[in-house]
Amino acid sequence: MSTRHWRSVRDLREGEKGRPEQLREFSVDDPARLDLDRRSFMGLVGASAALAGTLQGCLRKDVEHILPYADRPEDLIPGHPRFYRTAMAIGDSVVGLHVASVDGRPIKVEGNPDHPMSRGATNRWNQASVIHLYDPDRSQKPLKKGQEVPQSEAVAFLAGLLGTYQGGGGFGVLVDGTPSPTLWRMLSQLQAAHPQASLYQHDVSFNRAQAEGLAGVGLAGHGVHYDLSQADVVLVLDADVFGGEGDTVSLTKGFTQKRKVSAPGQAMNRLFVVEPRFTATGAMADNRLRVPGSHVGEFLRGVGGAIITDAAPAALRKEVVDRQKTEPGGLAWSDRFAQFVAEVGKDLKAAAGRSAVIVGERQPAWAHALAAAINAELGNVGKTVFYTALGRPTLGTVEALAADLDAGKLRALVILGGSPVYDAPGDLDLAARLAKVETVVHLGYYVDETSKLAAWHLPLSHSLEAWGDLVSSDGTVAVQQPLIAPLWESAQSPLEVLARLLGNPNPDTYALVKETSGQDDLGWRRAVHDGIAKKGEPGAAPTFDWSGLPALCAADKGPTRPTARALELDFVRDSAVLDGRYANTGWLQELPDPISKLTWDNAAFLSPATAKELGLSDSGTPVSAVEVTGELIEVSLNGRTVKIVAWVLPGVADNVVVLPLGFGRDLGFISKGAGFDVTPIRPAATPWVAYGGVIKPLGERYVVATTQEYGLMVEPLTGVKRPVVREASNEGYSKDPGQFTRLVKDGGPELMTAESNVSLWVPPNATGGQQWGMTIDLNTCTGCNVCTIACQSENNIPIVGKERVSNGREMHWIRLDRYFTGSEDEPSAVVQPMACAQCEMAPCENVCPVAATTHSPEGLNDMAYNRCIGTRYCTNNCPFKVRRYNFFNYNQEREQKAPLEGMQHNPNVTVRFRGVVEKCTYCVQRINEAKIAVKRQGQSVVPDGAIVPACAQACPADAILFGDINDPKSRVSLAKTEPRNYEVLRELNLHARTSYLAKLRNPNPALQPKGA
Amino acid sequence: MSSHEHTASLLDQVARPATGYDPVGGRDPLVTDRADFASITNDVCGVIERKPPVGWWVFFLISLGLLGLLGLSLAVLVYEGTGVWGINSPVGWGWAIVNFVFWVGIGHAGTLISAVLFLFRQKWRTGINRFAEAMTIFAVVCALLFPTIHVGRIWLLHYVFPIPNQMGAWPNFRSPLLWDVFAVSIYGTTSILFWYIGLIPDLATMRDRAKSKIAQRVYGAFALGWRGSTRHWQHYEVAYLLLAGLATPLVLSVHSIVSFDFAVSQLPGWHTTIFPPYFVAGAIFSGFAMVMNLVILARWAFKLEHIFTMKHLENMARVILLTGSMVGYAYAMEFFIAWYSGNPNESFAFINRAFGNYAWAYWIMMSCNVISPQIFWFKKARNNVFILFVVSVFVNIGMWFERFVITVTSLSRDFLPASWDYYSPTIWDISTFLGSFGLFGTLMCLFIRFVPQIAIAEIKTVLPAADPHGDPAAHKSHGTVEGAH
Repeated sequence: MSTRHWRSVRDLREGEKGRPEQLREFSVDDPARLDLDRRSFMGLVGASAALAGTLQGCLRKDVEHILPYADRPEDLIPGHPRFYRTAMAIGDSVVGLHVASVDGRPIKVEGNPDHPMSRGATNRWNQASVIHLYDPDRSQKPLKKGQEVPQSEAVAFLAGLLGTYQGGGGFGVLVDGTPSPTLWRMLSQLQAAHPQASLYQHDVSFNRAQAEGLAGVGLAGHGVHYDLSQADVVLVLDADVFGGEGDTVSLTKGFTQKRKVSAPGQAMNRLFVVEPRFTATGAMADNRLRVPGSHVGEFLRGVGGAIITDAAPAALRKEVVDRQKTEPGGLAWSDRFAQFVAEVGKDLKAAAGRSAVIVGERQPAWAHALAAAINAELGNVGKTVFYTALGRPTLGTVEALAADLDAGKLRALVILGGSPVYDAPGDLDLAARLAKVETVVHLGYYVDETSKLAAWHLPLSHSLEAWGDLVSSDGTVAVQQPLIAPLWESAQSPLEVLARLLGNPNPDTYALVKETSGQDDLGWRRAVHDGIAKKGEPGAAPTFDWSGLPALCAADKGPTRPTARALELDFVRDSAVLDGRYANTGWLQELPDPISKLTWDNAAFLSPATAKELGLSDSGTPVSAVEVTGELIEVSLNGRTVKIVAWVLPGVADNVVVLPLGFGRDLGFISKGAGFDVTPIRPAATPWVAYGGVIKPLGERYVVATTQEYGLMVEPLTGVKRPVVREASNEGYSKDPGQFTRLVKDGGPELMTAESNVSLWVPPNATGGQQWGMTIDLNTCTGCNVCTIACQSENNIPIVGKERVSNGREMHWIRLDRYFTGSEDEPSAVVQPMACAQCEMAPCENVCPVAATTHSPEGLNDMAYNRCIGTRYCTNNCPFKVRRYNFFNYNQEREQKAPLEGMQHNPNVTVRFRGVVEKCTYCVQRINEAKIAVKRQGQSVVPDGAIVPACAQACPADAILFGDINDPKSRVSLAKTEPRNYEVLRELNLHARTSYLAKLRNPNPALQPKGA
Repeated sequence: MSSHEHTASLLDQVARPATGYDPVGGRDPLVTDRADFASITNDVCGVIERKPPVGWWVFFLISLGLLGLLGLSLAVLVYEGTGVWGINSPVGWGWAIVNFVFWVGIGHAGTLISAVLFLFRQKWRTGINRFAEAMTIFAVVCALLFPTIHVGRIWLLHYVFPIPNQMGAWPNFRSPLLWDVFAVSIYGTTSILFWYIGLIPDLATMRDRAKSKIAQRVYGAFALGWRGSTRHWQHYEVAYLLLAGLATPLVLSVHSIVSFDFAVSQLPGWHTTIFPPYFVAGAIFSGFAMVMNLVILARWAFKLEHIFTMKHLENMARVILLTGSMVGYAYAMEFFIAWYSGNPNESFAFINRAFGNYAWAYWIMMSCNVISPQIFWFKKARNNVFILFVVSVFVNIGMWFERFVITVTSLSRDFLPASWDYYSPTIWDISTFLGSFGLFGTLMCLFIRFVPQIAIAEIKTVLPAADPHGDPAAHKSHGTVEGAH
């Protein structure tokens, strides 16, 4: 008899009576036990074998062995993101971030709700920064005269470099505009150790005119920030504040506070925009004036004349009021211009202390100083406009650098970030000038124009890879925390390079940043946790020194009068790739411009009248060709010439050519061939608004990729206007709140009554306790595009390339439809975010032959990618055309070209294969995550606001509301009860879950075009 | 032209010589040139037994070349993805679906001629029914090709069939595309059966005449042991009649259901109740035009003018005129309804069709489909082979464009102006379409080479010799077409 094993005494005793039921290996109650007799079992085995043989045989998939952790790290749940706070700067604007990291890979950027420049929202570059991080064309190794060298050699070189230039003579450092206190501290250390070293700063995205303007009136090193939530009248002068300029997120957030008209009769702020181009901000304007860029200052002076009182400082009076009297600008004001000046002045005065005047980065320093004066006179300072000392040092300009190079002052120049050879004004010809410098060291993200002529190129780390600190315009210091070690180990941050130059071969930037913060250990840990080292506080009221104003204003040569033969050239940062720093970022290249809807290219934008006068064909109208083309032109200024495609865009000032910067680079396979470099004709003296440009048509056509070929709500041929975007004045709305949903027969836009919409089909199974719905407020949506990028980032949406965009194959799940309204001369524009509306009676569902798209009990129109065979019937039957089809295996293509990009993929979202249709899911992965979290707490109802789709989360205007429409108290339900709520194409009986809140404008009645 | 007179059989001597006499109606003869039982058999079988003429080789090689092009196009398509075509968003269906509807339409004449005209005792059909049926089958093969290849993931196409599976996932029976799957496959199956049943006696003839062992075996196998006994004939005729009865509703149903692909959707320009009858009329229209083209080619190539007579051609021209006018009426009615409905989206869809970005396609369609067949009001035109041929080509061009106009213009400009876009085919769209003609032509050439292209047994029943009581002398000669008499 064998030895008996027993586990307990009871076991032992009972064992004598036979084994109890529950201890048998296969109990009859075991649900896993198959209740089969022999014949059925054999049959089943046979059938399985046959199935496996026939079906699996033809559809063999690679077997993938997923290796689980033998010892799981304690706090790591696979697939569960962890969040860290960090921050990111573009030029001098900072946004605090809240970044999701999965298995050590940053995959999604969200706004830091505690950061005043974010408050949970982001801009499109923040969203795209994750893909920028995984750019396969990043520079990877230090290069010495173009040859790869080991990092140790580069480090040794840096450490020894200043030894050659004791005292700093002949040595210079060029930094970009990053507002980093630690960087500034180290620069001053460098300066202290080597007093003769020259320090320069160059950054196209740095608002230099503002800094110089403020410096001129005694506020050197100050930042300006605005609280537009307190402003009733906002005058924006040539600033695309809602489209990406400056602190765009906080400006939008503040501005739209006073745009949320939840009930008829509620007051709304008023936005005046004066600009030469057509921006997203211009599209938001209640009254918009298009004038050449050089007339904007004139406009400001005119408004100032009405506002600046006799009590104002003499210098101020002299430069604004008196100068106007003595030399009325040399410009004959048009009636419209004069009327605008008068009305804007009146409105601003009426809203003194509750208004704001914002001048854009493209306007000269004196205009910024004047705006400060006007804001001060209006009593806005401290209420809507704030000036905060940031401690930003005044560094040499790029012109000074050019002069020093000419003078032979520099023998070594360390360039920390950026590519001045590419983006410095063309007439500085830095390439030739830098050639004279013995040792140029370039720290760059790409092997770019500057690296190619530098003796040393050092790879720059991404902001998500390095420690740093960033001070925003209100004085808040954010901690820039790395989410990941540098992907390429030789990558270093500017702080590291500076520290190495200062003799520390192994710098600890963490310690440097901590030291700058002045925090103790506890405070520092909190700072890193919150992402904020120091909260910005409204300090003492600034003391302006107007005595510097005349000196500033001396630069004002007065407005010019451009003609078709001597055009005004308006250089602007591109709405997506900015000054070119994102030229190799596919998401941004493929992001349509908010107004022109161009992707993958920049174009010389001209008004229809100017194009006609120059004999350029109109490219903005719908054409019967699969490819949209524009005419190639040569633009010359002062003997320098660039080639670019012309594009007619309504809303651009006449005799003005708008030239977006940032294209025509060769950083990698994305940027190659995308757009035209216009910097060569950009003059250093007037880098933004230059006069005297000449256009020569080349007679060739150039294919451009636009995501929208027809730009009006008015049908061609019939002239019937489709009520897609519904718009009224706020005044009209308060008088007639029901106008947005009134029937056609009563003069409204709606074709059918709700009662007459009867369905053949039984409504879908909407038995889920919570029914998801969305509203999009067209009144607050600025069309800034951040939702598109956020969605792309969250949902693993591939880019497709220029050729396919031009063939209408872009994949964006949420797009922004832009419609021009008004006359061609004075157009206005509205934008409408368009994503799957999750129709209850979804037309896509009943036509799918394989039932790949069906309704969830919670009212979502679900897509089963595995089931989809790609008939595209659903896309045809979708009235919104928001379903996207994978014409090719885009994701695989991307993986082949850019293998690193796969690291950005959201593990909770399927990466789609060729041949399937995809679309917005309301971020179903986030819904389920919230549901699981609620369920684990033993509850069944997800509280309102717990689920935020990626688009809504990124939106700085909070235009997108999402929630449970079964809950009458949810924000989305309340929004849906507003009279502004309407459904697009309600006559199709779709019962769309996404509805829109009609757009309102609050125009100054005196400025309304007649008949509007 | 009278080689068969020398090979007159005993039967010929017993039966009186044919002198242009229709034993049924006493109408104009359906077979001319003094054909008799033997000469019919010899003429029809001779096409197969003799070496093919040069013309056949030319057509065959061209078709084979195009078939190769089809193979290449499909290889590229499956390897690269449907993106090689010009389709985009919003135009999700392009040439593939246009071609599908085009080929299904062509596949209508066969069944109509075989089944409907059979039930209506239209004896003139006997000359062309075999040919038309073959054309139908091959057109349906081409038609089936397109929905198969137009899907994004062809390797999962079996999802459209109700195959029990472990996921318990069934196809969506609300989708018109699924109805298509059944409608077209049933139509294809029935057409093949109908064609094959009709072929059995003739296959037996071929078997009996075959000289090579292989031919005897193959024809013998397909002839299913046919010996021509009365019992065989009785069963055969019942089966044929039943199948004719079964196939007749399919003529109406298939294209009605194909039209549902469009009509059941809600797209302006697609969502119209007129589509089923309009599509059926259009299908018959294009099918007859295609039969006309092929018959004219075949009678010329194989010298079968006495069997494919001018009477056949003229009757087909009449059908083309009738259905062409029905289609024209439908075009007009669509416009009327678009206006009468008061639906602005619908109105725009039709104004845009006629005057918008695809107006060129619309006017090609109008001139080919509505204007060109009107010439058939004139008897001279109906009796002019050249005009018949050219107009039939026009009709097929027009009918292709009709499907293009419906499919593409409606999608190109739908509800939201922001999503409008233009569609153009790529080289692979074009090559696939041309390739489908290669498939069709190859099958057609093989059919002509190996299968009696005229229903031998059936056509003998309309010969004067088939009338046991006939006395040609008692009948007035109905002016035979041969001037010699």
